[in-house]
Amino acid sequence: MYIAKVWKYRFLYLLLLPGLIYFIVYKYLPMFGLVIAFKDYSAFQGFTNSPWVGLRHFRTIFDSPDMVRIFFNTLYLNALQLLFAFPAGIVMALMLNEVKNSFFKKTVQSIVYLPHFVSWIVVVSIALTALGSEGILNGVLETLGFQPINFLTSPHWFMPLITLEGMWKETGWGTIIFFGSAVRDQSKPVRSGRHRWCEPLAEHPIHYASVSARDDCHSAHSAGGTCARYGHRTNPAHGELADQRSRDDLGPIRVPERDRGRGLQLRYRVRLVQEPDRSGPDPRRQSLG
Amino acid sequence: MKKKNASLLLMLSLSLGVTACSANKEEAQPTSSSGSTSTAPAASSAGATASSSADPIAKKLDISLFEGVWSAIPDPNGAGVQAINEKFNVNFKANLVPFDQGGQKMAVLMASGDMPDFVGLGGADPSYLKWAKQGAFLPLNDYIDKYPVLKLIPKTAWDSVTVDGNIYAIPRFFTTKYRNVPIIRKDWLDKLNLQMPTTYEELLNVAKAFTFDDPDGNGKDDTYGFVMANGLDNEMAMGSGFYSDTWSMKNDKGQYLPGIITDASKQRIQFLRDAFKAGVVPKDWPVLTYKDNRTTFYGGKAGIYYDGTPGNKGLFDQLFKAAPSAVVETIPPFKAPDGSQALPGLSGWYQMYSLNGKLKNDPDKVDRILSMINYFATFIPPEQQNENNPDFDWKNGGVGKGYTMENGIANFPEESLSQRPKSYLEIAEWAPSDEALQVEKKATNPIQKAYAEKAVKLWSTPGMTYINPVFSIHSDLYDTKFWELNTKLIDEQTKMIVGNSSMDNWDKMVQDFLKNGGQDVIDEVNKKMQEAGAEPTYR
Amino acid sequence: MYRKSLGEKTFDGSIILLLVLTSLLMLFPFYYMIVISFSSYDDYLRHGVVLWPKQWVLDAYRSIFESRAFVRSIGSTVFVTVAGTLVDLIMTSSMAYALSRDIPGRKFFNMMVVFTFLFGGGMIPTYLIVKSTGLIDTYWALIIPGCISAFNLIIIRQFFRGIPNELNDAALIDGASEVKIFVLIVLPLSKPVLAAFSLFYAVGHWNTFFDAILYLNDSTKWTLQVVLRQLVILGNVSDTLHQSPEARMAQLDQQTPPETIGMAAVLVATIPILLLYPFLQKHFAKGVMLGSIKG
Repeated sequence: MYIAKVWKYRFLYLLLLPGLIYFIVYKYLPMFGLVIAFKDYSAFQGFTNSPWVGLRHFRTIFDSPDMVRIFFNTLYLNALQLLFAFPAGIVMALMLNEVKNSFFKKTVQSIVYLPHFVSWIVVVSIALTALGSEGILNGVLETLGFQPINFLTSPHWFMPLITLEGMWKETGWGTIIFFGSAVRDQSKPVRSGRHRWCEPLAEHPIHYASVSARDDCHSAHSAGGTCARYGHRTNPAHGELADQRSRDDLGPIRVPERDRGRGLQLRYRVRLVQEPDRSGPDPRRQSLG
Repeated sequence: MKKKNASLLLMLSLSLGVTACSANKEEAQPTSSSGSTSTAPAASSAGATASSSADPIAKKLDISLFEGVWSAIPDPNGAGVQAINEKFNVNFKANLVPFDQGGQKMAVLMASGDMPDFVGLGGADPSYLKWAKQGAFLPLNDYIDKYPVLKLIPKTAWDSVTVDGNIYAIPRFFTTKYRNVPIIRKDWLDKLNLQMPTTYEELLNVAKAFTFDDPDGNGKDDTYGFVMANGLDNEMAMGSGFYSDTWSMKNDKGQYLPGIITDASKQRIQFLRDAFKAGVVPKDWPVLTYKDNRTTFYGGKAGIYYDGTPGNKGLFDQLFKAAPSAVVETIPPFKAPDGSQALPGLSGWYQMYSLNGKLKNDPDKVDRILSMINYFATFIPPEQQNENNPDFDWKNGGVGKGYTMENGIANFPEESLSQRPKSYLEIAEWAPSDEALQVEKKATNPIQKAYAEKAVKLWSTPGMTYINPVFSIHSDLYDTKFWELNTKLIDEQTKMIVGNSSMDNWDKMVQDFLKNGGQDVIDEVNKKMQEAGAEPTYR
Repeated sequence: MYRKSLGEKTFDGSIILLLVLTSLLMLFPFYYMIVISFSSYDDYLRHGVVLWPKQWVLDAYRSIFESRAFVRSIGSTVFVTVAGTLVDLIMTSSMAYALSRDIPGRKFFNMMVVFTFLFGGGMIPTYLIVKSTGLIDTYWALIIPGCISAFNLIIIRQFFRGIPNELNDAALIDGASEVKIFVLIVLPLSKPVLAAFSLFYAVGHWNTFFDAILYLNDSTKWTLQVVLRQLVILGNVSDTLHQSPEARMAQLDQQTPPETIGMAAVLVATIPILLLYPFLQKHFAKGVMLGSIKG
């Protein structure tokens, strides 16, 4: 019976309780505040007394003429991220897995996760030094006899540049998760017919989260109150996409600091979930005696 | 599968249900707030009369402040705040945060009903107007005559913070003159035997010479004519008639227009375009910031930039180190298409304090706060800004402790920030005139001193300062819609400057602006100007 | 050990090359920051970014470490990070484990969690709740409101589910209670995952900035990032749509701290948490369940 099961698992319910209370108090109760999206909110009248205006605020947002373009820019950027940034972490982790020398492996691992901690402001100033029209890369190109490329001011480079910067920043960090759950002992023989890179993917449940731009926007926001890819942000040659980043403020709804970036722009979490194949015999049993 | 759908549905309906319920409850709620306050005034006014007949200062009051500040944040337990507590018999809690986060935290505090006794605000922006209309602030009309400093504040400043006839904030002083205007390396002009430019054509030639003719004589090709940054920072407006925020030119309907769409700006953008093509400005400027530019100009690598008067001390010190023989001068304004030849003025005030509306039941607190503000805002003439003036000495924490005197000039080191009471209530003193400030005396290094003296003289020329009529009015559209459209205009103009778009698109740009709401802004601003009788004036 | 073919050798070689190049690319900015932070401000102004500064000086670091506000903030930050991470791990893993087992109502609770993924309350309502639970101006305001991340919860839950039921059944047969199973069997097996998420939570707490300003009115309690952020190069300000010319002048009038101090501040703010990873690394790369099932 139901009651019997609940009693059997009573300890588990005890474990569940604090988390449940947390969710109710700090996640669900504030949601009632969402009601201000439909009201002309004033603190002095409170939540219940402020006049109800229905969908007026939503209309204001969607009336903006740039909305369509911003929306498609966001889609395009997301697509780029999916195609390149997401696999990059997996590829890198697999590459690292290949390396036999554990000193080299550990060193590289420790280096590649560093960029995650660099704030966007620093990234942009580095990008300026490296890719500016008088920067290092162009200097090299010129000595080699090529024309300098306007990486930072040309509209065509904007999206790829953002993607590349994101990859630079987060690929290494992503390998941590992947490594945490997928590294396997190299000495075990591989099941025939499969390339050995498939093993880690198949054997363990993998939950690979690609970079959430929420993290980027968080550090960027904290640093200056604006999404600090300001180098590109207000550069009109690049279009107004990043402009919208700073407009996380959807009228009376304030997006919490750590959740910025969840608006229309770069909100992307990709999870590759593979439950272990429990249908056949336990593959691990094969390799043991 | 069915179970899953069921629980999902359950949750959604729960959340929606509660949302809907709370929406409907509004009619059911009695306005209990008015009920409780009706009894309170009777009690407190009786109490107030009792205490004021005794000694109002005798009671120690808790006073709280919230403000976003530009300067460094002092220690909440510093000697400065102890001094304030002693002098005014208060328990002063100043919650100061960095300016960047000030706006956000203010919004949260106001929205959650946590407003402290008084707050420091940036200006009469839409948030202020909204909160004022909601009754968050205390009307101050009746208090103005009671405090000497408040009587000194000009009517234009009071008008700017008036909402529906009530004054809800105390403006803080700012200069009308001494705005950031273009400055030039005079020593470079002299070295290359050039005259101070008076038209944009001459300016272009000067800029080219600065870039290609090695004005600093070091044999290297490392100088720029001038520097710009993103957002058209340093828009190279040579005179009030060319500024993008000036309202002085009229269209054929007799309406004043915002400078950014006038022919004066067109001339200026054309100049910038030619300058970009000629290579006198860094090619990457759309992604640079004003900090990069300051490093370039004050590092001695550019010939033209902008600064206020007397200018930024740290930067001039940098320049002195980089090029000790540099001479910097303000570029006298060019003659503009609107017929003026003037420098752009400011509104005469910046930032303000508003008191909590709930204090209407606590006249003692109001009096205490206003006394504090009055004291801190009282003007101390420059020649008395030393240890001999007891107010100056107290405000800055005592000579040798909070500040030091060097060659008759007061020096405020960073380390003693928390010793200075002024750090906790940084209110600018209301000076009788900009000249009374004697800003040129504040400059220490020779380059800055020479620059400041000449600049002050230029600004003091009668008719040199343009007073923008927009300062005297409140236009909702101007505060909001206009600046959205402005961003678009800046983007378009940037494209024209770097050559991604042709100057022929200018008219289309203006038409788009007018069509997308710009004409409404112009109509409203002009209407308000007529109502207020505001016109461009030159002082 | 069999001989590698030429193809395999090239493959390995190119992987190594790629990894080396990538490492250099990622290391470069740190080198850049280190160089600037150890230069004197005059040198930086004169020469900009160089590969090797003329003089290595400690000016920037000295001015940071001598600041009282900075020293105080270390205490707050360490407390919030350590206590915060502990609380986060305990709360998240206990709820995750409970939801990983087949208890009645599981689906409903899981839905509840996922739903918070899609909707949030917003800054103002959350502030009101934090206020009414009495956390304003205490360090707990930086720990409790974010202690369980729904995302992390789901991942950890999935991990727990991945532990084969045979293990639990075997333990039950041996007479262990649910308590013992959780603490003595499941948790030790979960070291990699717990290590990984302790890193994530720790980084999150270490970087606390805006929440500190919002919830802590007493500036002596502020965290490291708040204190240091005032030293780092700031971009353009503006929460507002438009900055008035007076505001602009006030901003420009500020003596901007030297970039050397800014870089030093960034390094001081990030290196301690960077060092956490190597310590946790040894827990990551463990073959999880080898040998736990015998016969």
